[in-house]
Amino acid sequence: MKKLAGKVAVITGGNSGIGLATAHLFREEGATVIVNARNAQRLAETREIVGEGIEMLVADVTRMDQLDAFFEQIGNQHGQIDMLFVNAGLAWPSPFESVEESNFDRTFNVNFKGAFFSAQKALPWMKDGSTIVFNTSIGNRMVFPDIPESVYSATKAALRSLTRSLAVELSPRGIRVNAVCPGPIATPFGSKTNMSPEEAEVIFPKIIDSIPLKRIGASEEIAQAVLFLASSDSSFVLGTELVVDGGLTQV
Amino acid sequence: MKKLAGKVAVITGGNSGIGLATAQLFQQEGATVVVTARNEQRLAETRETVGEGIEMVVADVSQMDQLDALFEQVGNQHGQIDILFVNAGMSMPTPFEMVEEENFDLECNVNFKGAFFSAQKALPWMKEGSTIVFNTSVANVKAMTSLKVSVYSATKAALRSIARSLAVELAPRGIRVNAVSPGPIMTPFVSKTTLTQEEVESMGAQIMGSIPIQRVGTPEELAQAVLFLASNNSSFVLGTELVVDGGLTQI
Repeated sequence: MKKLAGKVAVITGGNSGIGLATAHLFREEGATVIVNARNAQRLAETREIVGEGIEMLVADVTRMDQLDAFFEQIGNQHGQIDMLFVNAGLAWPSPFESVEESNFDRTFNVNFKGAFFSAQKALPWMKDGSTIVFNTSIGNRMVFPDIPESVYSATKAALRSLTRSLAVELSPRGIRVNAVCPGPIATPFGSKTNMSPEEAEVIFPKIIDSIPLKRIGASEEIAQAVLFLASSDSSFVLGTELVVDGGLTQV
Repeated sequence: MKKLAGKVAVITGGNSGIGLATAQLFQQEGATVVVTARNEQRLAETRETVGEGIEMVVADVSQMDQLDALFEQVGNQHGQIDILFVNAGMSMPTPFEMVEEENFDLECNVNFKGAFFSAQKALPWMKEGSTIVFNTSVANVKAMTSLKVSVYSATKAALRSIARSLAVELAPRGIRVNAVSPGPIMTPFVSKTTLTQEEVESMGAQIMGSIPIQRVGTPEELAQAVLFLASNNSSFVLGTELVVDGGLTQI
């Protein structure tokens, strides 16, 4: 018996990295999987590689009209949403004094506002027994001295708080809410920041050196944690943040 | 393919509750399981109920010679230990000013010293790829208003710290260490405390009201979390504490 047989799962930001790895794992476990991404062209490329069984829709989580359309389409087609993985996010490392309003807004709107309303707009389709998993980040509890990302970290702290609030607020409806908290993971996420390859080459070995496991994680390793939180294996886990960081935040 | 096929797992305090439920889940997943308990008579009764496939050894984890004998026996017989679940623990709720030295020592010796040396003495048999899971408790981060457990809580805080230290210290040897932190769980543990039945019932009602999920957990739900941490599914999870408490510590 597959763990997610008969379940409908929605993953925001499923074009690559953790979102896509989770989509693959959920599909293997028998779920119907729908992912969204903002970039239509990249989504089309991913669709070709991924093949059948993962539905891919274009939607920008910062646009309320697009979120409405996205969840309405899923709801009408599948009748319910059993699992929501709120994963879409971006980072734009900048020293505090050079953060421009447009970048501040962009980071905040994708990482926090988009996450907030993804959950709100999915809710009408979620019944007793459903689960929501937010993707936070160890940035919400620690600072990388070499990566100035005050805005990103704050949005993730906001998400961690939201996880707690929704866990308590939605529990009477039988909807379980938790968060997964990834440490440094090998994803194309890095390439979506404004960090140059030269900068990355200097910074990454330093980060790896500070991780007790002495390596960065794989997207598939985060996907396993999301599966645990999204499935009934975690039926008494509520409002918590499962840290998957190779021990980085413990030292 | 079963998740723990070919693995040897040792669980301290496996006579009942979380330890026993974990033993049964590990057995289902294909592991060879050895559990310990202090009370010979209760162990014999459990053996009759459980039947074949879970090896049961009498050992008091607070006695170094018994721990030595335990791990020597397991090591000699099975050649290795792949998974150690350090679970043995006890609680004797008492108001601070009435805690006697004898009870203080007993709790510390079982919950902390016993746990510490269980891990140390298992180590010679643990190779690269092995995992250790400590059983802490939400009491290590939260005071219970209706339950006077200052000693118990402190021993669990010490254990949480040990999980962090060993995670970092043993990572270079390829041994992953984590902790599971149960909230209120329906186990015979309560019957091993000094509480009366009336006290248990009135406390149960109070505690229940403060759990967002509005129920206590089951040993089987804890076992799933231990399985996640003990298996390869958590390969990038290190030094963390997975909280399984129905949301109790989030409010």
